[in-house]
Amino acid sequence: MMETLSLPAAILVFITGTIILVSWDWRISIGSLVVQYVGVFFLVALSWPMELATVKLIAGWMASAGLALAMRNTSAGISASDRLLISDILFRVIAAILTGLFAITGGSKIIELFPEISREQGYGAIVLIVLGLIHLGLTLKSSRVVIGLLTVLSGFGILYAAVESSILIAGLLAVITMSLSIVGAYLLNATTLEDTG
Amino acid sequence: MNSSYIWIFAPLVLSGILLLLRRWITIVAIIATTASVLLAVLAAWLPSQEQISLWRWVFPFSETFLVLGRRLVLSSTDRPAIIIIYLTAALWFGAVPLLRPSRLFVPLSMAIIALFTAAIAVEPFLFAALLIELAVLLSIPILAPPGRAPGRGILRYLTFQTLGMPFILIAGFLLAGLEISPGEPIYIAVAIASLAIGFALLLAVFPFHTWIPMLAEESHPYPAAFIFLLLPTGILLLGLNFLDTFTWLYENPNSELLLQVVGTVMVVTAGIWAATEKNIARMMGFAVLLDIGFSLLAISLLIRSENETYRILFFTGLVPRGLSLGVLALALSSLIGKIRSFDLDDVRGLAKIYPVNSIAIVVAIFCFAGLPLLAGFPIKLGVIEGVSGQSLAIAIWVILGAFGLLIGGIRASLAMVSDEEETLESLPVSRFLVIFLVIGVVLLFLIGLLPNLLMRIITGFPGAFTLLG
Repeated sequence: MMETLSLPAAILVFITGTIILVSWDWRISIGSLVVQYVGVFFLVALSWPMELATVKLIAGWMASAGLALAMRNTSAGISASDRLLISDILFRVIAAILTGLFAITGGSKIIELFPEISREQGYGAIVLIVLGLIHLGLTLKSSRVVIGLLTVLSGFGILYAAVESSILIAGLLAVITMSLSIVGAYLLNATTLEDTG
Repeated sequence: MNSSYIWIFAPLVLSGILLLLRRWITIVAIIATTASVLLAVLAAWLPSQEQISLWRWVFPFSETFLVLGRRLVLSSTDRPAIIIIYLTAALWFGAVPLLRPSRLFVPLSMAIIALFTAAIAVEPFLFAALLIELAVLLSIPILAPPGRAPGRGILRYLTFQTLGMPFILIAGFLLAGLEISPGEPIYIAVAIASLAIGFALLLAVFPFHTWIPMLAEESHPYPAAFIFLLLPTGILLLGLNFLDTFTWLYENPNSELLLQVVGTVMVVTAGIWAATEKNIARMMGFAVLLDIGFSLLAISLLIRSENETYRILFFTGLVPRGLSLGVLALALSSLIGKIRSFDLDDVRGLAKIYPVNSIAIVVAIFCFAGLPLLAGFPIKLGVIEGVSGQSLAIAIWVILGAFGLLIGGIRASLAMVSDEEETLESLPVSRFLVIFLVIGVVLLFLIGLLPNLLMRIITGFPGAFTLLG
């Protein structure tokens, strides 16, 4: 069952990662992040028991929800400065396509290093890590930085799930995912908060 | 009773309580200081045995705590580290009422301390990378306090530290595989590259160093210095654990070469930037980078010679670093609100109005640079001497790097004693703060004059240096 869904899941994370990279509307970005965690869940479930993989899904969704709430609090709408130029979008789409091609070639190399992981997991992990890094390189906004980091960590999570199935690791990674979202929410609202206790 | 309850879970619970009490910053600081001293005393006094007798009662005592199939072990060999961690925390919390950093500083720092203790205790040690990442995430609100827009430095700090963690975990997995069966060259290359990138990101190695000076400038100097002290120390100890665990890595001559090159690059680049820096807070950041470089050089010497001296040198070097950072942060923090910024142009004439603060700033920077008679000198001299035994060229570069920071310190002192264009307003400085600064400066000189005393105390800790032993 999971093996059948692994290729669609890898394609799904590529599509959602690309949407996050090119979208300027936080609603679309967070929505894509939510869907991305579904793909991550299916890819992780190839290595981990279903109940352990669910931890990743729930943590990801909670992180997305936390970020969405914070964004909703801070943004009254999408300002003109948030919008990307056509050339910018084109650049990002080309970067995403190149990432996809790199994943297809690099994925097989990853399998040589980590024989435990499947081809689809390799594709998914590379796509998320590289798209996340590109995203981090192209933004200075705290919300976008956190989304980029969550994307990179999701890719790493797929890779690491294949080689380590410790419950403690699953728990700590879930805590880190949610804490990252809380930090993102804090950074978004830090200016409006008061240090009064 | 379990050692993890005392030194990990109790401080975590306490941090939660302190968070609720954060409105009363003085009370919170007093509670945290007392608790930290108590935990350090307990680490020194509590016998390491299976049963502990307290008056008529006998409690079973364990050093191992099982959590989700993994272990947290705080054995007697970890006690010196626990004593140092909690004493440092106590000293840092003690001055909080005088400086008034963010109200979140003490509660969150308490939790960070507990996480670092857990990082020492966790087995397998690789999981320490995850606990350090959690500590990093907890440190964000104290570095970017409420009410202020977070700067670019905090985002870089968050990004680099978060990206470093996966590299360390992957490297750990690959190296564990290599321990069992030496693999193909590509496998070895990927393992070493992952490890190098991971530690470069975590330790702010060039070109990932920018967050340290940026954070030093953007944040309150006191919490920033606390993180600059704790984070690199924890990561360096994690690195030592790597070398200790993977003998293959320890015996590989490239490891020593890599550490030497990286250490030298850090010292030289930090020195050059410090020499041309125009902001004293940023200079503190470069001083920290220079000191991390020296620590890496000490580890490289330790690998090459397997000489006890360099191991002691590495651990002893943490004391002057902590002390200099403490004095520098204290002096800078007490000037907040009294001067416009820490730019050299804004500190003109400072020495005439705030002489103790000015002296403390200059002495602390000189101590980082390894000026003779100060606490940093014996450590730096030992490292330079060791490096010169291998390569005179590297030793000269390292001296030049330290000289760069010295120039930065001289420029700062010249600015502070120069005649100001507009007179700075003289505002009162707490007498306690002045006493703290004077004690700190005296200690910096005392350790510099009597380095053997410190080394004897450090080496006197039983089992303090089990790493690479």
